[in-house]
Amino acid sequence: MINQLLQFEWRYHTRQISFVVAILVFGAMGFAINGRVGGMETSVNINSPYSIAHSLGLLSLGATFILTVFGNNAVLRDSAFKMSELVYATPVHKFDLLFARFLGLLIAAFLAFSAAPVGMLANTMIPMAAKRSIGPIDVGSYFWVLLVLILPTMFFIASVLFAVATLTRNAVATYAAGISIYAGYFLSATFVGSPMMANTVPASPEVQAWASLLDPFGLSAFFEQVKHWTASERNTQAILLSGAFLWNRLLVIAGASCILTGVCLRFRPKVVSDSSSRRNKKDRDVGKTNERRYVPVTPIGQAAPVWNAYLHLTRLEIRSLFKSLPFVAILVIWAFVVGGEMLAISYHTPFSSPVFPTTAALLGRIQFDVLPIWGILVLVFYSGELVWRERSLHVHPIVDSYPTGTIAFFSAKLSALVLIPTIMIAVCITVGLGVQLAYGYHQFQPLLYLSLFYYGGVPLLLAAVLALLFQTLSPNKYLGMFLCGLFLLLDSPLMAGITGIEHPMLHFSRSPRLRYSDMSGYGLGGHAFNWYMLYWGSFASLLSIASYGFWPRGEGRSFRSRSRAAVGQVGRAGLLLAALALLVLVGSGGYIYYQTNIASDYASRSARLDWQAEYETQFKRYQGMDQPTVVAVKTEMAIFPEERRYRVKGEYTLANRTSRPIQKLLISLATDVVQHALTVDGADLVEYEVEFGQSRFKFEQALLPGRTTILRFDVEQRQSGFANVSALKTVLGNGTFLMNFTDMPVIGYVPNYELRNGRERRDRGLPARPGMEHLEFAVEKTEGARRHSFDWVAFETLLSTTATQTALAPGALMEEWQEGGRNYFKYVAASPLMIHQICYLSARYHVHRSEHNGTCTAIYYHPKHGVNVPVMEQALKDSLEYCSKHFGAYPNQELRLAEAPAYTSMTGYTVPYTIFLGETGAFNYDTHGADSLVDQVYRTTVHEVAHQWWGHQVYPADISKYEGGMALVETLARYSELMMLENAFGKSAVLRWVDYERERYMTGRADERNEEVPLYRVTSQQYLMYSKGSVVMYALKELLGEEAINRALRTLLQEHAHPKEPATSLDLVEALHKVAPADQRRWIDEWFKEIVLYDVGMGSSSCKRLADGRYQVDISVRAKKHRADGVGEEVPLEFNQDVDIAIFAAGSGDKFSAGPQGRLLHLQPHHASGQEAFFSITLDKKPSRVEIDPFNKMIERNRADNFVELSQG
Amino acid sequence: MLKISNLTKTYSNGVKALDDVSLEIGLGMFGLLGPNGAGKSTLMRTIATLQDADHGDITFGGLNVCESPTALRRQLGYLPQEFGLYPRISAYDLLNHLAVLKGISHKAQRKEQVAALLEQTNLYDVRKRAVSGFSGGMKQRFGIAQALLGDPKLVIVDEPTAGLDPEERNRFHNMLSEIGENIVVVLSTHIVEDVRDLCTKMAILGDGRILLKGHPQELVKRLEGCVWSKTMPKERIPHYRDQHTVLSTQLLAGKVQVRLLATDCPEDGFNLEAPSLEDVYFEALSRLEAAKVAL
Repeated sequence: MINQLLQFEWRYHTRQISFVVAILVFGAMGFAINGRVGGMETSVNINSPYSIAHSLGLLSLGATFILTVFGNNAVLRDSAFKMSELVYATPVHKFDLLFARFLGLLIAAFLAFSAAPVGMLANTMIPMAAKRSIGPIDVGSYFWVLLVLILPTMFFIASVLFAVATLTRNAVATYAAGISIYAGYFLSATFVGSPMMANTVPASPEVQAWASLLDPFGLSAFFEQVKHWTASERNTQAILLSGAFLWNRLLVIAGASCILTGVCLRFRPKVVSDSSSRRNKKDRDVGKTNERRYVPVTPIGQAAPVWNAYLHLTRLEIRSLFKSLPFVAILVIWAFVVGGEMLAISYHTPFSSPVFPTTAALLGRIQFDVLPIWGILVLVFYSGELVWRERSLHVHPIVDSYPTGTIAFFSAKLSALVLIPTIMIAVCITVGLGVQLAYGYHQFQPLLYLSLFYYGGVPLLLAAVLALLFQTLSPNKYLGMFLCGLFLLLDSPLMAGITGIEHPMLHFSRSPRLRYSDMSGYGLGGHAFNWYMLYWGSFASLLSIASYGFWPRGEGRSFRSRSRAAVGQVGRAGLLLAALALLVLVGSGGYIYYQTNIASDYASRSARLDWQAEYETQFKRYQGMDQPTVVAVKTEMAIFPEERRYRVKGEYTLANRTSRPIQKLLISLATDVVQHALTVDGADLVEYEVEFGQSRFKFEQALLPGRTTILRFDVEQRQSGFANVSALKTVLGNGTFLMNFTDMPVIGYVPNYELRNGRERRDRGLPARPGMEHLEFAVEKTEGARRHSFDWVAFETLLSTTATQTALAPGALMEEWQEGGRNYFKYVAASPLMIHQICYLSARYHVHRSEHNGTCTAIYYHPKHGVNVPVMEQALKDSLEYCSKHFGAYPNQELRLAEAPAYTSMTGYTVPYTIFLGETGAFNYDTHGADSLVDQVYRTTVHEVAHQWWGHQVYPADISKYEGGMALVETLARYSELMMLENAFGKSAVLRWVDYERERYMTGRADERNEEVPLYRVTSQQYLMYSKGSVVMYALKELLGEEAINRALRTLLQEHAHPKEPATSLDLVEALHKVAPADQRRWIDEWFKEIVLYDVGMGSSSCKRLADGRYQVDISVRAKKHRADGVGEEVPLEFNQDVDIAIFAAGSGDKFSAGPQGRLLHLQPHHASGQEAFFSITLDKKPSRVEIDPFNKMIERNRADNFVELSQG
Repeated sequence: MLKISNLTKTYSNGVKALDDVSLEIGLGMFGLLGPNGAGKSTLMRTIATLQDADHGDITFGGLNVCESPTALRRQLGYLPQEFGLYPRISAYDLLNHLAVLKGISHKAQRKEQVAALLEQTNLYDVRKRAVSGFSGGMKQRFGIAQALLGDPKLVIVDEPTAGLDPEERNRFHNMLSEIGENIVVVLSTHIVEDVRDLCTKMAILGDGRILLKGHPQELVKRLEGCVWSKTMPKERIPHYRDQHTVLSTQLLAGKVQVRLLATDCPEDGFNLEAPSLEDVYFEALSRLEAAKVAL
């Protein structure tokens, strides 16, 4: 019996169009995802067991959707096609029926999903040139992942959805359940810090352990298992059925089995019927006396009934919307999604830096991605439900034969549909207010909340109109949903790279980047948004007129007859309206096009790449040409915030630093600025290439070595927000940030214009760019002739802005005055700075001034963002003091700290005289949570101040030529930061912080895309410069002492600060060597120049009380040591070295102080060798905890076994 | 009043639902009789402006229905053969809603008519109950109530008595005949009694064509003296089928009573019977069958 039933199910599913669609979709997704996870160019093979598991694991989230659709097909087809009576009347045992249905559903869905690995395999086997490494093809690893990861997951999800479908017999409820599983997963992933979600805060180990166990998709356990796997392990090691992963899979299977058993017990094969129908008999004969007589009533008039009908229809739509459980469920889920997103903003964990739940922060979190995506999903779904409701309920033969104007039906549907996003936005606002109240934040901004209806609501309204048109024209509800969803997906900017639909005017209902912040309001894209909404609004009007024309009435009408009727339906007024909409569309479209393509020079991605390639082809020959150096820059920068315009006039002093006369000069200027003047004293313009902004000059008389000349320029840029919106080059009503040295003339060939992507270069016939040389070779080759990346210039500027704003630039403020309604500031840098550090800032600021040991400090902040200013003030004071004392004096008289507007996405950035902290960063950090380990405002500030030494005084040699430069900038800033944190928050806090960095280093190296290099050769790897750097520098400090390290750094600074020869990381290693005793130098080399990993753990431990009242602790230390190569291949090393052992007493005192208040009983290096070493330590006081290597000197993956709480033996 | 001329409709699957149908229908009840699949519902839907015909015209009181559907809809009451009702809404609310859609904007008038219709259809006491819980009969009565909303001049009822029990059917017939005096009522059915009981004029539709039209009594009269019957064992029937037009066979106490068409007594033992409307119906259908066989 079961066999036959199963065969029937199988035939049923495989003949569904959804089956074919699912196979195609998953095949395509498998093909597309192959090689895209775990890094694009890593040393991990794209078909490694790890990549296969990772890709299929991510795709398994999508399996929810096939299971939902198939589940509905399997369970609800009887009632949908009114077959329940027939099916339930057959003498099939309910268990057989359910079992066959479930199995059929699972098998069909699993097979459809299996198209994904086929697609992946196909992608692997296609010979494509730009591919990363491919390992030997092993079909078995695909099967293994399908078996252990995918099948249990699908079994579980299928059982949940099957239960919902069987017990509710409601399609929408099943869809809602499917969506909740999907959404719920993402929501919890955000909270448990899944590596799937970018930028999530790492959750505590306990939360992660629970997540590993309970995650129905098994992904948390998978990620936990592979967290520290190196490339070579990832290439060879199949996912292990052990540990948390095994338990998780077992739990999932057990859970699914329980659910299915429950369904079996609860299921009653009966036709659902309204209980009231059984009361018919009674009702039939009541009220026989007909008191009221039927009298015909002639309907009157025209206009009023249509309006009346519209009102009644709309009311009916809304009522049925709110009375339907699925809609309420969707709203509840939506509230949870929004709440989850919003709560995460201010969620405190020991290492997170949450911000205040300001209205801007809360809305910003959902407004630009969550709301549009969810809104469109719900709209696509409900457009089908609403438009097809009369037809699926079969009411349409009645109402369609009524004299009611079609306009009433159409408008009512549109109104109800538009109401949906409106309600969703209202939910956002309510939840937002709730979150603010929950966090005790009381600065409500009602108008900003209401603005969400405009900025978030209008694009969704447009999407509603579009969805309505799709449903009007589609012959089927689901086809309409599919096509509408497909259209919106393909037309979205996200897919532009694939579809080639790039121009912003082609992305329906979208506008250029919109963003809100307290400082700038909607200034960045608000103006463009208005125009775009006018443009898309008029387009949508045309769409809705078309929908109205084609509105289905009756049945069986061919498309041709409907299109014939459409014009008549629309009528003269409609056509007039359409003409008007067309006029507005053309008008607004023309304006947008003008602003985008003519006033700014818009270029498609490929056009930009072509431009870059063409530049390189034409001008590369000038790269080696002798050119003068810029030695001084003097500018007059006028910022006009209201007009979103700036004009900068300036002079460069050019000097011939070469040993030969210079005849020719090549000057490059950005192409998106208006060039009013560009002249060079003593030289004539020979040629101007407008396309590349290249001017070639020829000196009348050659510029002799050592001689100088003056270059003068005058350029202007007007910004509209329609195109070329660049975060670091923006003039706004409030919050201008111009890091526009690229808008000023650049001398010689500009290597920055070159195409970097290898494939794009190859496609355009360019040779591959040479890789970086090994640091030692590069240093050897250029001995004594090392240069910086940019020219050092003397700098002064006369900076002006509107009367209400303050403008800043690097340099000492010499003068400040007001004239003609504008503020003028004259800044002069006392010593040269690098030309790329020139930047200008203008905004309405409050200023907090102070003075520390002769340095004037000033904090410039948005008037409402003053709450963290006192902490910043303290941090400025502490860091100036620490760095000046230990590394060398602060070179300037002033140090400014300014709030950078949110659109710059800056956390921190430093130029001479000035550090910038982000509006959504330190200025809005909420540091009042008790869970924070260190004050993040303090931490960020001292880090940036330290860059005034590391990065400004010591600036590494050209980082495009020499590896390791960032170790001098970020690693040393990190070291300074850790020392100041230790002073402010204590050693325990800093050690936890260092341990967190060790963890990040381990995760970072596991995710490395190319090869891991030793720290001294770091280029752009943040996990090295920040994380490994922190661990190494802290260990060094424990090894050699803070004083010795600081002495080494001071020497480094003295020997390499500008204008002395720039430093490389080898100089840092050298300086450290000099302060270390000979027998300790090998550690410096191990940490900086090698990749060595340990596995150290506590073997046995015991503690006993001796006869003399003292205590004896016996422990054994197991240790392994490995050297790893770039891809993580490990070679064992002999373990023979000192190990720090620390023993602590119980209590609440300071962990690392030894005195009567402290807990430290013992801290000493003990020599250990071999696999396991035994130690016996005698103590005066009663010990409670033993730790091996408390200072992270031995970098290892797992430190959980490094300590033990002693129990008295 | 209602004039249908040369109406033709072929569905996209090739089924010719209407084949050159022409009818003139005046005031009163008009019965459209035909077996399932004869094209009755297609014709009804086309008159009710829910469907377009490929060729042909429909006019009502001089008004071209295909060209100005809205004008017809203002005078139309339509009870579809199959229809559903909204869930989670009471009978009163739904009828009131539909009355608004029909254009009865005067609130008091509307209230009065809605109440009256509910009363007439015997739904007044259940007016507050959700229509989705109604039985087939109640739903059908609700359907007629909505068809009568406003002031319909043309009422089309498509298979209205399907699924009704005899009592309900009776009540329904009474209602129809009451309203059918001054307006055009087109009743489509495959049940001969409905037409016999109610209609002054009728037509028989088969395979999309009009097979017969006229007054029921006159049509019956035409068969006078031609209908014979005899009770016989089942095995004998084929014999008669070959030689005569068998109108109907009916089981009677284990044997079969056969009615057939003949100008003279076909055989001993046959009795001359008074013709019924049913005989007319079967005669028309059997002529259609014969034509098909001949082809």
